[in-house]
Amino acid sequence: MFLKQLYHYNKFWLAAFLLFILAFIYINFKWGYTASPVYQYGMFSGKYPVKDTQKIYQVYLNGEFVNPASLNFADRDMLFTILTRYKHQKITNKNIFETNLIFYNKLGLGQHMNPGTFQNKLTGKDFLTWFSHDLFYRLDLGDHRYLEINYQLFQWQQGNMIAVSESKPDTAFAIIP
Amino acid sequence: MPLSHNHTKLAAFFYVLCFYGVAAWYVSHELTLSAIRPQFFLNKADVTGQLFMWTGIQHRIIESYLFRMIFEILFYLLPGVLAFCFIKSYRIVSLLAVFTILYSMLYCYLFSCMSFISIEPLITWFFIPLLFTGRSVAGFYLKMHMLRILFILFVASAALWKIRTGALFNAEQMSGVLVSQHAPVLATGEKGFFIDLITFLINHPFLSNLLYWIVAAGELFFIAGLFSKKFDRLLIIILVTFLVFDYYLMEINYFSWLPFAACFYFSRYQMPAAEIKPLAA
Repeated sequence: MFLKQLYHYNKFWLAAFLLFILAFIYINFKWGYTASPVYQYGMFSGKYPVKDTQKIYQVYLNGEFVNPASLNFADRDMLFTILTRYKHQKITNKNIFETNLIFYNKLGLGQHMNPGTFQNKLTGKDFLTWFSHDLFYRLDLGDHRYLEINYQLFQWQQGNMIAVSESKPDTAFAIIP
Repeated sequence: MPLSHNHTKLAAFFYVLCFYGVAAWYVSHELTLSAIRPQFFLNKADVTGQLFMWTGIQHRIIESYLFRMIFEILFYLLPGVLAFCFIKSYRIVSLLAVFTILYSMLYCYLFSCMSFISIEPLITWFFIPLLFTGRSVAGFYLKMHMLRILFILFVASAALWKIRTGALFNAEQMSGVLVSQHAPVLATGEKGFFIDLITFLINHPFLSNLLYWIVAAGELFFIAGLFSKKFDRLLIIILVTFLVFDYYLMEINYFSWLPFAACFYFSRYQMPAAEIKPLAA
């Protein structure tokens, strides 16, 4: 039996192996936090109702729509998910830090953790400047020109993606001249 | 037939081939820290991952171009150097493998915080080097089987999650997944083979759910690997099919999981008899 072989070969490896499996079961049972290198592998196991409203970002360069269908999926994900990630980063980082602090306080380490280390320093303007540069660089459009970011809500209805709201500028992303 | 040094060398070669193959894809798609030039990070709900963040290294990566470059070059060099040292049986290999594991975990964690790539496809780069933490064939054999069992648990857990959340019993699950995954493209209203295929699958929930159920069944079937090695060839086929479909249908690159296939390929060999230690009295 494999565990017996492992026991006779190296007891440390056996202990580490069993500990990892126990941690994996615990992390999955608890359903929430992970502990690197122990992760959860859901693989689209959340419920996805087909009628869920989808918030879609629309990027315009010099007034022209950047068509996601014309990009490879890596560029597309990079450009469009990064907007959502940026919008969430401040509050998400804060919440994660505060939740972790409870755990690290119990270990007596919390007092040594500086909240600023777990937060980003960039401003909205920094982000937009970088985003526009990144966009131009990725799309190979030369110099930085004019960027506008809108969003629109869509829903899958009658066999197609139907707009269920007007396209409007996202207040988090001001226009960069 | 017992596992030999040649087999372990072949595994090291396969690992490094996969690593640089996947790396080429990441580099060509400008998905490296150097190309992204990250300006912010999005932390994860990960207890131990906070220890990485605590060092403040994420700010150094964001602020210093030189630091970012060196940090990344080292990550891309390590697997090659590790495989070379392992194949040549250099003494330093154990130490180098441990360093590669820790360094790759740090890099992958930060990379996933600074890009849209989730950590799950990247686990290979800090799990597989475990195979090279020693030069004995028996040690390699046992670590390979440890990784084989862990990988089975990872994949099978995905099926169990689908049962636990009830996703497996949602009649429109795969249609919903496809809508969510490809929403920006679907919203353009454009036509084309890929968009038409996705639209067709969304509009035929039974057909698309059939794919979801097949995937879940395939994931669940990995459990058979805990009891017997005779299905390992089939598990490799399931794994590769999963990687191909994930890439072309879901547009997610999970090819970084390919090195785990080596654990299923070499599992048919036995532990080298000469290296089995006698049972303790």
